[in-house]
Amino acid sequence: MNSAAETEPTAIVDRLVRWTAQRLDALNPEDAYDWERTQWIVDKVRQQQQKVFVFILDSISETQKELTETLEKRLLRPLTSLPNTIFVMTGRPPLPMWVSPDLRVNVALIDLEQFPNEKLKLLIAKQVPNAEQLIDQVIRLSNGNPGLARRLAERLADEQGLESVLNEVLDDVLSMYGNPKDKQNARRAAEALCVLQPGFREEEIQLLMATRIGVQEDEYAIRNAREIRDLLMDKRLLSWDKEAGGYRLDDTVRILSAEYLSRCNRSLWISLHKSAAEYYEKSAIECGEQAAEFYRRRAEHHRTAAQEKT
Amino acid sequence: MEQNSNFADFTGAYSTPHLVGRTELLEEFDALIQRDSERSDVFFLSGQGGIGKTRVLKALLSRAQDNSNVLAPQEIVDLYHIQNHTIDGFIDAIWHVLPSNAAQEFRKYQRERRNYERMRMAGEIRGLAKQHERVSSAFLEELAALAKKHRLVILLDTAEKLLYTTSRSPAIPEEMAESWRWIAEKMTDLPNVVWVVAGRPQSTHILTVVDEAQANVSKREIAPFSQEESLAYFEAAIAATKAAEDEGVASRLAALDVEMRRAAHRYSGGLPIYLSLLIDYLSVAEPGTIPDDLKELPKEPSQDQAAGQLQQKIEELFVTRLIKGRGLGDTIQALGRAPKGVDVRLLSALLDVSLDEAQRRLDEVKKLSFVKVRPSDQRFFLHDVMYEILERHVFSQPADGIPAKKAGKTILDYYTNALTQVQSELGEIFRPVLEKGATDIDLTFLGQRVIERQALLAETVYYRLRQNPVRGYLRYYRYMREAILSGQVLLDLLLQTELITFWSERDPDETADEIAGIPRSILESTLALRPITRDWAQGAYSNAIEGIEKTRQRRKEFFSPERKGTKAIFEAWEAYARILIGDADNLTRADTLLTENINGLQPDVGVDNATTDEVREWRMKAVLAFCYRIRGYLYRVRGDLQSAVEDYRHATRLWRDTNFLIHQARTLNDMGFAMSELGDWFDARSLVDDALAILKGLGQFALAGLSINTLAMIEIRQGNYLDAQTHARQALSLFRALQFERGVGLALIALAEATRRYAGASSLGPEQKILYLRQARDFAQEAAAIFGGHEQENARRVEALIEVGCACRDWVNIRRQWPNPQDNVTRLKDESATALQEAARLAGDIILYRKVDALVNLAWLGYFAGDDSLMEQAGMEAEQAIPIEYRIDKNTGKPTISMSEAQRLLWPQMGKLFTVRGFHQFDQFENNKDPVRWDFLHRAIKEMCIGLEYSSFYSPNYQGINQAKNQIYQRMKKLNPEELTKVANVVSVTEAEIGLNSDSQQEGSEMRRFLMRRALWYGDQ
Repeated sequence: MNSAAETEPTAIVDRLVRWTAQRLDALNPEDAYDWERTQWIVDKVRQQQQKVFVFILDSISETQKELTETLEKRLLRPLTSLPNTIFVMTGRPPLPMWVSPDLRVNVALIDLEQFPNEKLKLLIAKQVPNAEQLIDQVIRLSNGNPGLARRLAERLADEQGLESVLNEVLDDVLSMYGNPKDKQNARRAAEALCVLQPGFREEEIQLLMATRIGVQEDEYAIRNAREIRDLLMDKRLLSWDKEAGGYRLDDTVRILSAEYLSRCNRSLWISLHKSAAEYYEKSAIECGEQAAEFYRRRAEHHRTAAQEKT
Repeated sequence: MEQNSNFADFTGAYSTPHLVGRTELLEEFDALIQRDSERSDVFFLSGQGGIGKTRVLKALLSRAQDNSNVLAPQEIVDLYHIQNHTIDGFIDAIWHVLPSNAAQEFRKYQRERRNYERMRMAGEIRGLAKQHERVSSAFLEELAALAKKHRLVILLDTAEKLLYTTSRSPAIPEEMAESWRWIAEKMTDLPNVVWVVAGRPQSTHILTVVDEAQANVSKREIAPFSQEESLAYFEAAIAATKAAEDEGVASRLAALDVEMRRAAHRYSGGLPIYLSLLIDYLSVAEPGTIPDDLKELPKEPSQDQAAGQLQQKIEELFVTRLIKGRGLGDTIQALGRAPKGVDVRLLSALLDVSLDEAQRRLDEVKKLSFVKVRPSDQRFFLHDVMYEILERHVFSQPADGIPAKKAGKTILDYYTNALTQVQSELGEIFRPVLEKGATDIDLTFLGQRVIERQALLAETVYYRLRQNPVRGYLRYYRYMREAILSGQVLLDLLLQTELITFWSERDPDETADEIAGIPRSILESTLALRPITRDWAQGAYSNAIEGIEKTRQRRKEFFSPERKGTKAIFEAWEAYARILIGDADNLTRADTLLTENINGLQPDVGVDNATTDEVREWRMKAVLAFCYRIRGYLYRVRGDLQSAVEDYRHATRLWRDTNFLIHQARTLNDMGFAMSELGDWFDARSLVDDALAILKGLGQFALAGLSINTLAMIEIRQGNYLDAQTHARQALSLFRALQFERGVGLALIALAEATRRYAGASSLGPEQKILYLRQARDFAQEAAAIFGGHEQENARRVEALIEVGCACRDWVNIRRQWPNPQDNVTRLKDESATALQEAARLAGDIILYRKVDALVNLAWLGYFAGDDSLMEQAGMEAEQAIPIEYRIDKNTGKPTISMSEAQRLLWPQMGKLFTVRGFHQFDQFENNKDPVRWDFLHRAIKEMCIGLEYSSFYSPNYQGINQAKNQIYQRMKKLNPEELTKVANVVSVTEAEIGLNSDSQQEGSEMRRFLMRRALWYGDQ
């Protein structure tokens, strides 16, 4: 199913149901009631118990809530109760909040793992043959994401400069934000937070966003930092790291942003690390024994990073 | 696209509209309230945190309200509030929750209460305690009358707060709120009342004070939900989400099969709080994220460890949920940072949002089952379990250091501002008192502010202990001393509760030698001392001494040579109590205790000892300073003012080192007083002004009152009686407003003396003078009653009695000159004599100068009343009481005792004694003819000459001397040159007799100098 937001959810679902009925060779008269058509589909599936019916819904997370709700009611929920149905859905979180336990509870969530380096090498070699000399760089920057690796390889092979490629790819990655302002804020946030190790809190977001924008920390309100946090969390670009006791930026975005920043805006890169180093040094003194060592190590990391050459 | 809006709503955790389960309990309650009873019934519900006690209480309240045979309150009384721990507050709380028509029936109570408030406003301290009894009796009487007509139900929540200690150490006696002890005792007078009390398991201990022979006590444990109850809770939660019009959540919950619901029950352990969190999580969990464990019934947890793992899982799920909860998650975390409650201002500061936004957020979380709101001040709390979860999973992480510090600072700033605000309001209340001597301050408002301030101080200690334990302990220590020194026993109890709670948290196994940097031994001894100091603060000095004696027996280690500081602080308080009792044995014992401890501590203080930690070093200095201060007070009581000032100086330096402002101010005040007694008025005044400024800055108006009173005393000694009266009245108004009984007594003594002396020194007519003397007598009598009653303090009672005696004595003097049948001179004389003799008896040899003071004043009474035998007898007794070394050595013209060792106040008394004898002789001189009268003049001048000489040993500026000189002048100025020549001769002879050689010592006697200054010296003719 390709997502399409141009028309009303009810109409889209109606077309989908008709299409399904047609594919299953179920009763599908033009003048049937909605519930009749659904029932005929269910009957059709139930009658063929020896068969397993696999329904594939691609990019489900890109779908409007109203559409998924209607879809669940009209088609999915009646079908999930049958033993010979399997639904395969793809998408990046957040996923639709289905009501039916068979769609929400009895679900195998498969997180597609990063491609191992060897596999990536093969993939690039096959898909972008002229990018052989770029493979190591592509592997490092793509964080095992095959789509991203391919894009990087293609653009770098076209002899675009790395800075320009990184800029474009970052824009692509953040294109999940429909609103241009959100996208711009997310981009800024990614650039600000990419210097941080996992386990940071809103206070560090506040500090580094202030540094990124070029204002004093107290000129950037903590509530703005929370807004940035929510913006990134909405798209799973920021998540809570239980072990680290704080947030972590999505690895792919972090790697790309860090590479971009350290190359294209070295002074900001250093400035962000220095801000973080000073902040953590101060915190190591002020925040009590339990946190002192933790912050000291962080301060050291940022101090070292700020002094590293490109 | 908005797939995840439900993450922000927490609808799944909404409070359920109806109580789930607990059927047996409800039925039992219904049966209980249905039948009348000739006794009180206590229906006690205990259960662990999160079990749903408050929810059950709400349901019981609702059922009682629906039962037409029962008189049910409008609300539950929450014992969380410290106001309800006092008898007044508790009565008030019950009266307020009664339905208005029932409350109106408490006419007698309301009348007595109004009278009580009026008396407080008017400062009628003497009858206040009795009136207080009348208030509580009227309340009980009318409550009982109400219960005769209807079965009466009263519901009390959070009973565990009634216990201030947890009996962790044998040295810490368990203590319970006075309101509960009181009502438990009175339950026998309250038949047909059902007391429904809910609390955590440890709170069952409060039932030990309920006489089961007089009240029916039923204890019920609120158990975790059964599986059926948990399943019913699911349905209730679904209903709540539907009511909140969140169809999405309602549908998702409704769709969960029974197997999963059973699993949730097992995971939650049947605790409603956990079940609520799980339900909320399940309502928003994304596809595929619900752990497999929750999809089917787990095996019965056979071990605690297994149960703990399940709990851990729920908590982790909640934290995940919280993080995704965006704004609402932030609000919950902010609430978690401040377990003492969050109001709109604090939330606004914690989240850096506007007040409107903060209010909106609070309104948002109000509906959640794990959020509680305190109606009286709209403070928001999380369920206790929630605080624990947040601490475990978010706040204890090293990465939380920065946000914790930031939140801590915000919270402390909030409390600082709130305290400043309260102190400013207190300042406004006291402004008319301090500026105009007004007494009509709003005591109700004042009472509320004082309670509010106490709560703020205790809560500040709570936060400070957790942010920086050592600093928190030091702050505790300062506030605790402030509480004791200003008689705020409730504050002391609250602070103690905070310290014990902190200790319990950090050292659950009671094994650590050090609790977050605070030595365990210091915590133990600090807490063991609390009941003793509270006895002291309430004037129960004998109880305090007894308490220390018991501690000495039970906790020998506190008094071991290795624990010098601990031993010293116990013994310093013992000494303080003994001084305030004031008899000879007690003063001697106090001296021994203080001197031994000062000698023991002094070598260790100020030594740079690498092994001494910050707390120990600070405490050692504070203890030594306290010992010096108390010994200074002892010396002052004994009249050894030089030594007193010396000790006060030592103490002041140490208080500065320890930044103990309240003690510093008190010591400066006491030092100022002692210096004023020595005639150093300007330095004295400066020190007391300094003390007053510190105390006002601290918002310590009760103690500021003591300094104002000291100013009055200094002004009396300077002879500024009008200023002295003004200050004494200011102090009196303050103390009365604060119900600080000891302060009232002190101010009354000062006011009596200032008024009496003003009457004597002014040019008023006799009737006006008598008006003032009558006032002075009444003031002094009230003070004597205070110091002889609840506030037993011998030295002060002696002072008050002397003032009674002096006022009546002066009254006799005037009435002898201007008789008026409305005053019976004999009766007045008897009143004066009785008071002075009692004062002399009470003072004994240990407060020698007061004994002599009383006897000399008795001699003056004899003089004024024309009773020569009384004058002679009293004078003789006074002389006998004065040690020989205080007398003038004829070889040197000086006493043999050194000035530094002497109780210098004895000399003005000797001066007064010789002066009265001189006046008596002078009267004879005036009333007789030649040649007899010359003998009288000779004797008169000799006595007066010696009298002035003795007085001058104390201070040439002593107001008593100036007064005496004026009286001598009044007599001398009537003499002719021939008589004055004879006077000069007598002075010269007397000088020779007492060892003053006018040739070698050009100034000669004080009498000679006085006569020369007043142009009455005819010795050179």
